[in-house]
Amino acid sequence: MGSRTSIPLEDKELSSLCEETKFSHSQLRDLYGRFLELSKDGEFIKRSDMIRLSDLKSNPLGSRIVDAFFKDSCSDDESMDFTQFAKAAAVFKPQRKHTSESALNSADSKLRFIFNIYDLDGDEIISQDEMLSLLKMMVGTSVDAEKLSQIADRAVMDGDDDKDGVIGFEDFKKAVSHIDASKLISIRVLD
Amino acid sequence: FGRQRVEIACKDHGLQSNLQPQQGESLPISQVSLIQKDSPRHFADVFKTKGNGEVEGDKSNSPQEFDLSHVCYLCKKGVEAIIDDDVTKCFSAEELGSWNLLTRTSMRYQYLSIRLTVLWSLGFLFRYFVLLPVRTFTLVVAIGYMIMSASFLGYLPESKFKAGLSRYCLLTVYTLASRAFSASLTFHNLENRAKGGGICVANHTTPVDVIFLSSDNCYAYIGQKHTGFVGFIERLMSRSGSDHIWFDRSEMRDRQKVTNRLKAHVEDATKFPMLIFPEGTCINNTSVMMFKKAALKSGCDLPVAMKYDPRFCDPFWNSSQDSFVRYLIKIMTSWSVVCDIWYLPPEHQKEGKIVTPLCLTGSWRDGGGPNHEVKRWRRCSDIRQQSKGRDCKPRRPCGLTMGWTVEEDDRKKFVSRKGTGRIQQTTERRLANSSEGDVVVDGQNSCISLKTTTSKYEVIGADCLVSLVTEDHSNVIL
Repeated sequence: MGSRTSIPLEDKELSSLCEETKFSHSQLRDLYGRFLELSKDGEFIKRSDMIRLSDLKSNPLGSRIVDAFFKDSCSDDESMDFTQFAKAAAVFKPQRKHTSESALNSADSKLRFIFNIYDLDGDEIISQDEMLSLLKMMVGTSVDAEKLSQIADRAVMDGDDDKDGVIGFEDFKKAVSHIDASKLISIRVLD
Repeated sequence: FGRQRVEIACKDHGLQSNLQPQQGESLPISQVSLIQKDSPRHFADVFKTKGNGEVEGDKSNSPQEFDLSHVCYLCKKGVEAIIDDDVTKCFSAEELGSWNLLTRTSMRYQYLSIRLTVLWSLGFLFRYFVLLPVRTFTLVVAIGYMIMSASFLGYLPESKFKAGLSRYCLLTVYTLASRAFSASLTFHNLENRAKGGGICVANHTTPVDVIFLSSDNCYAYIGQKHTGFVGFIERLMSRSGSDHIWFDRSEMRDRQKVTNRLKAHVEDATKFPMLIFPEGTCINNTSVMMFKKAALKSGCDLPVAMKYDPRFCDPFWNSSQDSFVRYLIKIMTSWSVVCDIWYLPPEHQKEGKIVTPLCLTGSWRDGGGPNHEVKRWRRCSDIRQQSKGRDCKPRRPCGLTMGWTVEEDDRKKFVSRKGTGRIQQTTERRLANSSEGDVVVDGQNSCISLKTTTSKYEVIGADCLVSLVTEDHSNVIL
């Protein structure tokens, strides 16, 4: 617990990671420490490692969040290494005024993450079924199934800008433009 | 007011409100449990109102928006759990069960009814145009009084009379100053009040809680030498006969010097007890962060626990959000500051041990305050031996780290916020030998905080400071 772990990356890779994620060296070291705790073998984190966290278990959207975490960051959906973990975490870094559009923590990528939580099958659109299943996850059994589907239908109708019956990413962005979603999901400690 | 909305909506549509009664509803207001933002019931309430009514023409109230900000919140909480951000929990303001008419405490401002808006504006006018001037005036009077009395006392020769008079003046000044915040302070267990010498440790929520504590008992302070107005106040306080320790920045770096001065002061029983906030920074009063070590190295410790009632104001100073002046204005335009202060029985350091951390358990919310059961950390000599004689140097406090409870399938939950997460060989062995329900503390770290899901525990600690926060924050354990 006393000594600092060194990240098992070469200097070149480390500095390019720093640049991409905009984290400082010490932040990356903290993240690496966290990575080590989560992973069983020190090399990869599997989906099952993450889902074990008790805080995630009590979170109604826990499994979806883990899915979204794994989705964009790695081609192999089952495990991620440290670079991918750092890049995924970088999405939640609070935005600064000069953050460019292509940076990892831009508003676009944050909204993309939320979109992935809705989008269960990864087809880039939110259909009524997906909305309904998300609501079911959040609400449990306290609300009638019928009312819930009404709400889901209405939500998709409202959000659907180009009237194709489903919500695409552009519709989604327009629908949330009136609230500062990116601020809502920035994590202070990553700053 | 969330419940009210639901019930009004149900009544409007002639439906039966079948919400389960909130937990703790029959108990007095101080026990109303907070609506957990990520419990399904909360969302159900929200959706019931929307589901019952027709489509509201107003887009901003559409289910999509509710949906989204809740999803954002849950998402954030989930990722925080993945990245293990425990520190933020200590730094965001406490949530209230029902709104207290201050915009700053409502998480999401929404227009609800004309009546509520009128009430709020009346409150606003009253707070800013009646309370604020009166309080500012009181504060000015208090400072003026302090200046006068301090200068006067500076001229008197050292005598018992002077000591008595200066004590009286100090208490008056601080009582006046705490009135400037309309503070309503209740002190419990006055028999444990500090008398002379020793160190008082207290939890820190606002920078002005020094004033509240000092209105009942005189303390000596320790801090950095400042310039300007604050420096003037510091010099003034030193003049009025009580010994404070003010450090130059250069001296602060020399830890040994600091400790020596502290020790010398503390052992002198004629001096005032030294007031220390071991957390080092302001915390939001729902949990306790770990202590810095230097404070508790010597003498006997007198714990003081402070708990603010969040309904009247939010006393937490988020120094990254507000400057000090802004914070002062915020607190002076709140309704008032209501604080309960408990003096806890003194803790003495046992022979041969390096530090005896303190622990007070009990629930804040049952109105009775901490029950003064003080658990001792038994020093575990085998951890010390097994760490091969390496000296546990006091490390810079680094935020919360988690210990672990021994459960069947997750023996490797130990998390360290900074530094490595690898469990030492020796501690692994300890884990293997412990049984379920034990809490094992790693002796290498000098500052550890534990998160335990069991309320029964036996801690085998080495020379480390521990603070414990239970998962539902209903127990604050120092």
